[in-house]
Amino acid sequence: MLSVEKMNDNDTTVIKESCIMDSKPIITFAGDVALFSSLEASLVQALPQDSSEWRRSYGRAVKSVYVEASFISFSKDILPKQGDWHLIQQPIFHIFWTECVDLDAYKTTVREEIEAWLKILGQHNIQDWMIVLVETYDIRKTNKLLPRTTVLDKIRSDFASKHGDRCLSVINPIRSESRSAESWRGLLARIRHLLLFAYNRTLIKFEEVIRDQRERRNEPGWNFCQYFLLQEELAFVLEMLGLYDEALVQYDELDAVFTQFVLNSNVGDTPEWLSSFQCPFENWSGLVLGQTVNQTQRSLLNDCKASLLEFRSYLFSRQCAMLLLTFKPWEIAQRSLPFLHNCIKELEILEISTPPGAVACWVFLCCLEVLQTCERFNDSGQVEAYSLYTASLWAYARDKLRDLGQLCGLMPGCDPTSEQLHTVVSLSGGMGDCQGNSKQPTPTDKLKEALSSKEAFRKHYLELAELAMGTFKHIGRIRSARMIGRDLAAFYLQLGEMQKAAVFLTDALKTFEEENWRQLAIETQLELADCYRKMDDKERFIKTCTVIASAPELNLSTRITYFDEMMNVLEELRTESPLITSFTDAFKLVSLEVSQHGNKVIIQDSTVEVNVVIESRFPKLILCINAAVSVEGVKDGKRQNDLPNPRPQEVPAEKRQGSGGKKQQSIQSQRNDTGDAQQLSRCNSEEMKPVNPALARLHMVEHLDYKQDKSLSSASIVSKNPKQFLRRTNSHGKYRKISSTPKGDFSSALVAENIILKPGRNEFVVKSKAQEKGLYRLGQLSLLVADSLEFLSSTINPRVSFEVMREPSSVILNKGEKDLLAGLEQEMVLTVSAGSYTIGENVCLRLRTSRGLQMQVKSSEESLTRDLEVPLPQSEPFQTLSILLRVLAELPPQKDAGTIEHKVTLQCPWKPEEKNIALHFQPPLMSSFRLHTAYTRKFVQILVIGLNVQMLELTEPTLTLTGNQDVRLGSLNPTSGQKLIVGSGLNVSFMWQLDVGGVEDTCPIKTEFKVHYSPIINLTKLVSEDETQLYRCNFDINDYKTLFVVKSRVEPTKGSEFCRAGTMCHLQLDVQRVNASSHSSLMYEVLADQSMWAVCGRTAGVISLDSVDKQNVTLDVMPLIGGFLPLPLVRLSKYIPADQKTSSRDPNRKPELSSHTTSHPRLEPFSPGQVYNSSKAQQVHVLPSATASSATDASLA
Amino acid sequence: MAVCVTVIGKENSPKYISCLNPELDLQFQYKVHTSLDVVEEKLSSVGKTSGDVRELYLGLLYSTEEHKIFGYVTNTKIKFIIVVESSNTLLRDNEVRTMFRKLHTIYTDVVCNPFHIPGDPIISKNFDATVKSIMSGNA
Repeated sequence: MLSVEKMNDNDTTVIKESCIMDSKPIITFAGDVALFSSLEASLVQALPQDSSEWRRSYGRAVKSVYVEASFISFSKDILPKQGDWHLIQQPIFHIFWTECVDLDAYKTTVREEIEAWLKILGQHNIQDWMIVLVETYDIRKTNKLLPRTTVLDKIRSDFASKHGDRCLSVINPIRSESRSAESWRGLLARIRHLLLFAYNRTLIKFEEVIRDQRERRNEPGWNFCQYFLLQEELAFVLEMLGLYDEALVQYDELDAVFTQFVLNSNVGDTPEWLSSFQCPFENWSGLVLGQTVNQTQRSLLNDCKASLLEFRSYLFSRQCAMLLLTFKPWEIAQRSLPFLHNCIKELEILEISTPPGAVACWVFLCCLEVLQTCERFNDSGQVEAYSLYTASLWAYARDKLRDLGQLCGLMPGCDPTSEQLHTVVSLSGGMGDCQGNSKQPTPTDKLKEALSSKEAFRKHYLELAELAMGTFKHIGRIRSARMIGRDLAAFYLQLGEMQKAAVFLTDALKTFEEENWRQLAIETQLELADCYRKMDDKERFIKTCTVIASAPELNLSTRITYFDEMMNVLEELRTESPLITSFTDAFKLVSLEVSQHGNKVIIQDSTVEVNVVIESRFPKLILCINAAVSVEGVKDGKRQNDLPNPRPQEVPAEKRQGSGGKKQQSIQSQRNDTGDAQQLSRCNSEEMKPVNPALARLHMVEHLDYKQDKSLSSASIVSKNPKQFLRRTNSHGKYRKISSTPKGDFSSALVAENIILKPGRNEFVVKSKAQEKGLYRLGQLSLLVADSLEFLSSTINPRVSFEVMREPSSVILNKGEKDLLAGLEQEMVLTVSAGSYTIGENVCLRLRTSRGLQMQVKSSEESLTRDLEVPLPQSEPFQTLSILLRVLAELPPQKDAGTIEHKVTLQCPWKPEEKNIALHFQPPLMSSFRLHTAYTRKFVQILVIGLNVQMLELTEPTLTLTGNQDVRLGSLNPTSGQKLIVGSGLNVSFMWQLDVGGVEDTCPIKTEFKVHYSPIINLTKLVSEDETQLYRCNFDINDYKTLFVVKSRVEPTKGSEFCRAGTMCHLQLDVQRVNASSHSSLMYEVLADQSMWAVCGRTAGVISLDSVDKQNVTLDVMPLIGGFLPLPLVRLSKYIPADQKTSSRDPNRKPELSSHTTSHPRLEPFSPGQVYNSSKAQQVHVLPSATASSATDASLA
Repeated sequence: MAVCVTVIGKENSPKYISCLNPELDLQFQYKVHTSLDVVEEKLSSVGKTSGDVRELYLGLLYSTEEHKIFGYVTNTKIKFIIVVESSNTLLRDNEVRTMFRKLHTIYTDVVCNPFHIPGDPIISKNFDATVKSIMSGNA
C-alpha cells in the first residue's frame, strides 16, 4: 500500500538539479507508511513553494529560505551515530504519520508504535520530530458534538505535553481536497519551520565541533584535509539551503586557513599533513568549473593524497561554483589572477618540485577555463564587469603559452628537439583527458593542440595575443595593450614578418613618446632599427639611427655603432631628393641672431647674416653640406602699417625742421609701441620653451577679517584670481605633442655651406642677399648632411624677423634758428641723409639759385655765388650730413612787407631729376616816401620801417637825384648823435628839402634813396656788425610845385566887432596863383561842419584866374555855437566846363579821359601839395549869441 | 622592502626612477608604465563616485608572479609607484602605506626647494638617499 516515490522533477531549482550532491534535507517517515505514500508526492512538491524564515541563534541575520526535502523510511540504522558529523546524507527530521481517529485503536496499537519510535529517537538524542494525524473530513461529523477527547488530544497529552506544536492534525487532502487546504498549509509551514529549527540546532552543534577542531590545528596529528572535509559539510548544508554566499564564506575561511599554514611553514615548522602536499605531482589538469563537486579530487583529499594543485583546483572550483550560483562570474575572473599567483607562490614556498612546464600548463588551463566560463555570460552588463579582469587573464594565458612554446621549441625560428617533443608528450599526459566536443573544445584540447605543432602553436598564440590586446583596449588600458604589442612584435620579428612587427613597435613608440618615457622609447627605437634593418627599409632605418645616435640615454659605443651604420647606409642610399627627417634630438637649436651692425633694419641688396648656434648630439663629427634657414615674408596688413613710413620726398624745407637727427629714434619708438607685433632679432633656446604655468607669479593680496567689534579676527593672504591657476588643464594638451613640421619654402633662404658640425655646440653664420624690401621672418632651419639626409627643425619660435629696407636719400635745406631775412647774410643747413645708400668719393651736390640769391659753403672762403657745387664726404648708409651754407638774398627796394621768394634748384648726382626748393625771405625793413609842402617850399620825408626783430643800424642816408633836373636836395638829417635803429616797431624818418627852382612840374623827379645798414648783433649794447649793406630805393616825386594858395578868414559883418553865434559873418576866401598852371578855372567848395557852421547861399562856386592871379570871394556863414571854431574847410578843384575839350587844355591828361567828354561839367582834384591851404587849422573866436553876451571878439589865431 | 620606486608627473611622464638593482631598471620601467593604466582607471572612477577624496593611496595596482605594484597619487596628480616582490609575504598593506607617506613627505621637500622647477625630473641627493633607505626598509 505504501510506496516510496522519489521526487523526480522540480523546476524551481534548475541549478540544484545539476549539482552532483543533489542533496535535499532528508526527512524520515514512520507510522502509517501507506498513508504517507499517498501524501508524499504532494508534500515534496509543495514544500519548496514557499519560503520560511530561518531564525538563527547568535544574532545572525534572519534568512528567508526555501526548503525542499526528500523522504526516506525511518529505521534505526540510518540515524546518525554519536561523533559522526556528516551532515548531508543524514536524516535531519522525523515524522510519524497516522490516521487513527479511534481512541481505542490508538490506545491499543498506535500509542505503542509512537512510544517505540520516540524511544529510538531519544536514544540518539534526537529532538527533531513530529507527529501528524491525518483525518478524513466527514460531513456528518460536523453536525455532531465534538467528541470529548480526540486522538490528537490524547497524543498531545501522551507525548508532547511540552511541545504541543509537534503534534498536528490535518485533513486528508486526497479524500476531500476542498476542505483540507487550510490544514494542509498549516502542515507545510510547520514542517518547514521545524526542519529549519532542526538545522539550526544541528549547525550550532556542528559549528562547535568545527571550532573545536580548528583550535586543535597546531596539535600533532591534526590533519587539514579532514578538517577541510568537515567544514565543507557546513558549506554543503548552506549550499543546500540556497545560502550560497554563506557557503562561500566557509570556503574562503578554509582558503585563508590553508594559506596561513603555507605562509607559516615558510618561517616555522611544516606540519606533518602539509608535507603530503609537498610531494611532486604528476597531474596538472586544470580547473573544471561547474556546480558539481569533483568527487575524485574530494576523495583524494579524504585520503590525503591530493597534490597542492589538485587541492587548490578543488577549492577554487568550489568557490567559483558558489560565485556562479550567485551570478557573479566577474568575481571569478577577479579572483583568478590572485589565485593563480598565490598557487605559484605556494609551490615555491613549499618547494614542490614540478616538471618543467607543468605549472605553465596548469595556469594556462585554469585561465582558459575561467575565461570560457565567463564567456557563457554574454549580456553586456556582465561582459563589462568581467572584461576588467579577463584582460589580464588573457595576457597571463598568453605569457604561459609563450613560456611553453619556448620550452617546447615551438617558437618561430627554432625546431623542437626530440627531447622537447618528449616534454610535449609528458606535459600532455599530465593534463589528463578532458574531451569536449569539436565545437567547444575544452582548454585541455586547445593546449594539446597548440603544443602539437608549430603551426598550431602560432595560431593559438596569435589568437590569444589578439584577444588580450583587444580586451585591454576595450577597457582602455592602452599601455598594457602596447606591452603585449611589443611582445607580439618580437614574435613577428622571429617569424620574419617585419612589417607587422614594425607596426606594433611604432605604436608602442608613440605611446612612450607621448608620455615622455625616453628610455622606453629609445629601447623601442633600437628594436625598430633592428626591424628596419632586416626589412632593408633604408630610409626608416636612417631616421631611426639618427634618433639612436643622438640619444643621451644610451652609452657612447652603441651610439657610435648606429652612427657609423647610418653613415654607411646613407652612402648606399640613392634617392633623388634628400631624405627629410626632423631635428628630434639630433640637433638642438640654441640660438639665432640676426647680425645687425648697429642697424635695426637691413638695407636692400646688402647681406643678411644670421648667427646660428646649434647643439649637435651626434657622437661624431658630421659634415653639413648645406645649412639653410628659410625666410618668409610677412604679408600681414597690420605689419605693413607698422613699417616706418618712407620719408615723403617733397616736403617743404621748413616743415622738415628738426626731424633729421631724431629719425632713428622715432623708428625705434614706433617698434616698441607696437607691442605684440614686436619684432625680435634674436632668440635662444630659453625663449623657445613654452612658459611653465607653474612658475607664474601668484598675485596674492592681504586679506583681513574683522569681528563685529572691529577687532581683528584673522589675517590671511588670498589669491586674486584663483581660477587662472586652479583651472583644470588635463583635458587639453595632456600629452606631449609630437608634430613633424613640413618642409617650408626654402627658395629664398639664408645659406651656409660645408660646415663641420662637431658634437656639442656649433656656431655658424648663414647669409643671403636681401632682395625685396619688407619684413621677413625666419622659418625653419635645415641641415643637409651627407648629400641625402636633411634635418628640418620645427618652426622657429618666437619668430625672429628682420626688415629689409630701401630708404631713399634725401637732401633738405633748413634755415637756422632765426627767420630768413633778405639783405643779410645768413646761415642755412643743407642736410643730406644718405638713406640706404652709400655716398662715394668725389660726389658733389649742385645748387642753383634764382636771381638775387647767392650762397656759399660756410667753410669756404670763396665769394657767394648763384651756382654752387657742394662736395660731399664719403658716407655710410643712414648717415646724415649737415653742411652749413652762407646765404644772401638781395634786399630789393621794399615798399611793403611782402616776403621775397626765391628758388633753389638742387641736383643730386644719384638722381636724374632736379629738386626745387622754395625759400621765402622776409624783408628786414621797408621804406616809404612822402612829400610835405609849406607854402611853396617842398620837403621829402623818407620813412624806414623796421619789420623784423632783427634790428638794423642805419647809417649814411642819402637821397640823390637820378635825373638831370635842376633840382636841389638839401639834407635835413643829423650827421651825428643817436644811432638810427630800425626793428619791429622802430621806425626812422629822414628829411630833405626839395628846392625845385624853376623847373616846370611836368615830369617827375627821379630820386634814389640809399642807406647803409648793418644788423645789430648785441641788443643790449647795440653793437652792429662792421660790414654794412646798402639799401637802395627809388622814389619818383610828382606834383612837386604849389600852384595855388587858398586863404580864408571869417569876419563879422560890418558894424560888428566880433563874430557872434547866430549872427551872420563873412567868409573871405582868397585864391592866389603862385606858380604857373594850366588850370585857370577852379571850383571852390566850402565844407563846413554843420554843427558849427551854417553856410548861407551857395557853398561852392567857380572862379577863373584866367586873367588875374588872385581872386576874392566872400560868402555868408553863420556860426551856430560859440567858442573857438575851426574855420570851414575850403576845397579847390579843377573845373572842367562841359563844352571844353580837356585835351586841348591839358596835354598831360590821358586821351581816353578826354574822349569821354560829356555835356556836363566836372571836377578834378588837385594832387596834394599843388594847393596849399594857408588857413588850414585856423580857428575863429565866436562869441555866444547876442542875448547872452555883450561883447564879442573875433580874432584870428 | 621595495625593489623600485618611481615618481610620475602630472602628465604621466617619469620624473624619478630608482631601482634596487639598476640592471633591472628597464624592466621596471615597462612595468611601471603599464601600471599607469590602472592608476588612470582608478582616478577616473574616483571622480565618478566622489568617494573619499582625501584617500591618496590607490592600493595594489596589479601583480605578476614576481612583483606587486602599488600606487599612490597626490592631490596634484603626481603619482608614486612602488614595486615590491611578490615573495615578500610579510609585507603588510600598512607598511606599503607608510612607505608612500614617507615618499610623499620627501617629495614635498623637493618641491619646496625654490630651485626646483615643478615638472622637472627630480635630482636631489637627499631624495635619493631617502628613497634608497625606503627600498631597503631602513627608513
